[in-house]
Amino acid sequence: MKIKKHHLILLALCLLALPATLGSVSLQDGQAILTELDRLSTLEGKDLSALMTMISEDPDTGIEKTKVLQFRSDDEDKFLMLIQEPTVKKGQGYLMIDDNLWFYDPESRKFSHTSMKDQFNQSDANNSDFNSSSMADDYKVVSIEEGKLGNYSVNILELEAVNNEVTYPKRKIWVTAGSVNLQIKSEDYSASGRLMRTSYYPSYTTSDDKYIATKMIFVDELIEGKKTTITISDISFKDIPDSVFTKSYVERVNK
Amino acid sequence: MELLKIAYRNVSRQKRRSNLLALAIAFGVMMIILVNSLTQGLVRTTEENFSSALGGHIYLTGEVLLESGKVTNQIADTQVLDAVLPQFTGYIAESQKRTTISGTYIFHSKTTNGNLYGVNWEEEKTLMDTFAVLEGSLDRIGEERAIVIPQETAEDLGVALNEEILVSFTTITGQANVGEFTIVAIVKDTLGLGFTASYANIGYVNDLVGLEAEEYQSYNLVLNDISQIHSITKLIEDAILQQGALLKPEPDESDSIMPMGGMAGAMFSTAEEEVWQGTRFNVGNLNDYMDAVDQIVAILNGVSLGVFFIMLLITMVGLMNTFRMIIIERTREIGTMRAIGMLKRDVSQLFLLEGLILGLRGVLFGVAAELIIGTIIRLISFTDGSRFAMILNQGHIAVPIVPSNIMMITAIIVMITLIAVWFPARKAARLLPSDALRS
Repeated sequence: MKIKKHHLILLALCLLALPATLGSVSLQDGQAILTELDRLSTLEGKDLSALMTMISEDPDTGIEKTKVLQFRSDDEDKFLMLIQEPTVKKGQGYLMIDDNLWFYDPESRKFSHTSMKDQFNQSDANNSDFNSSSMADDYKVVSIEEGKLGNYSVNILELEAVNNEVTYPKRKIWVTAGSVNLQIKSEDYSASGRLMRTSYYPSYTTSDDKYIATKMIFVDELIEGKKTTITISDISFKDIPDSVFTKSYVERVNK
Repeated sequence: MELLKIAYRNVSRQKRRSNLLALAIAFGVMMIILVNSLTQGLVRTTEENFSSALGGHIYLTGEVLLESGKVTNQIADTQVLDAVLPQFTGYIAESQKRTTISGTYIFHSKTTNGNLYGVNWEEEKTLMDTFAVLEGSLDRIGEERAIVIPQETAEDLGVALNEEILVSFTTITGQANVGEFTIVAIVKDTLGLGFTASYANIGYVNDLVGLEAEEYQSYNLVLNDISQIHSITKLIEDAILQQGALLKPEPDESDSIMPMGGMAGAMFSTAEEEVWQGTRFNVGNLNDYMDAVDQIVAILNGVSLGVFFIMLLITMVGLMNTFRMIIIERTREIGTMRAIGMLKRDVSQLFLLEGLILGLRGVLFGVAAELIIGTIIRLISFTDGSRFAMILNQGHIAVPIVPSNIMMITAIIVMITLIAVWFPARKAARLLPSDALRS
């Protein structure tokens, strides 16, 4: 078949247009983005104390405000959350030491084992949302593309879990492109592929080269009208004594 | 026979006193028979309700240790049970393979929690027969995503037939998952315990929780004779061990969590590291859930026994004093009888027979009163969903008639009566005719 000249020009134009649709990021870049996200959110050499204000909106129970003191030591892989308000829940605590997460009930004065995958305080946040990120270990990137989210240029990554440690087997995350990769949105999917939760991270604070989300919005995609907004304030990076991350400390503060 | 006639005539002479005495005995008899019947009814009804709710009398579940160290609830080595259970065919009325989800039902903004049982509809004909269908039909249960929900769940969610609901739960390895189901039937709550459960196709449920098609989480057995529950459980355990499979050791009190028997969701163990391959089986039975009821029944029986003995004591003392009075009143009569030739033995037997007649009359009154009161209690109807559903038999309190109880109590009353009357009767027999006539 004789190829006409204008066919060749047309083909060249098509080939030039392709890179814009294929994107300039690869799966390896995606995995590197996950590693960078983990690095930016993991506090090395410093601890975190903060006050977390959680507003949960539930069509059944209405609006509930919870205040939680958060202590985190990523170097030791420990965290402690102590509920301060409302009064009826004051003293309840979540203590993580290594891979064990304990819930403390001041009424019964007993610790019970719980899971990082469980919901925190019946909200749309999970216990794992308050720990340091380990997405590079837990997920693999199955697709990546460039896009826009509002005014931000982002990379949109589709992730699949590589182990059973995570709550959501599939996720889609929006990460800011450019010099700093920050996760600003994520969609969390069930094993059957149903969208279960959409999370937004509209603001961050920074210390050295570490970033802590100061506002998180979790929208339940299964239950209409249910969402949780978390605001983090009074942030401190001072060292926290090891004795804080112990069961005896949790019991002592409740006496 | 003559003595019996005379004794009966003597008892009938003092109607008021005899009836009052018989009523006192009757009250004690009625109370003890009623309490015994109630406790027996409580035990039987609770056993039946639990059996219905839990899907049988004996429950076989399993644990599998994953490479990650987590333990999941599932029976992966189905060939073990396929080899073991045919040995017990003669004892088993019915068997059911189930996979269970404990999750949240969601319909738009409404939620409710409950259990969802994955069942093999072709094998669970009895279950289908127990459904009281309020809306829809069981003809569509073969559809992959069909679900049969109880009325309470439908009302909580505000759903109607053919609508789609979501069930949010965690898989056996702890991942979040959501099932989408279409309501094909709404039924009256089948469990009768205030618990709600829905039913769906086990194939789809297995797929959702992360099991293979042929796997399941529990194998429930309904026995022909519930009294053999303990012995059959032991035999099944031995048979499993003979197949070279493992049994789960008895739980250690130091374990900080209770295992979620047969439910989807990873189970975390804080005990020392145990390693095994394949499925580790656990054979539980209804008695595991009846401890609380057994304790209540033991307390009730203890209390009623105590009350019964006190009443017997009172009855015995009352009878003794009453017959002392009778003998004092009838001293001249005794003297006359002795004077005309009645032997001491006959005098003694006469009073014993009078006591026996009073005792039997009391038992008769007591049994009749218990039957009447028991019937009235059985007629009381409690509304559906009552908090007492566990101890009710289709909304009614069970008060069974237990002939052996009645016979035993009759024998005890007869014995007590004879003992109580023996002393006065002996005294009466020893009276000298001359002294008796002079009094």
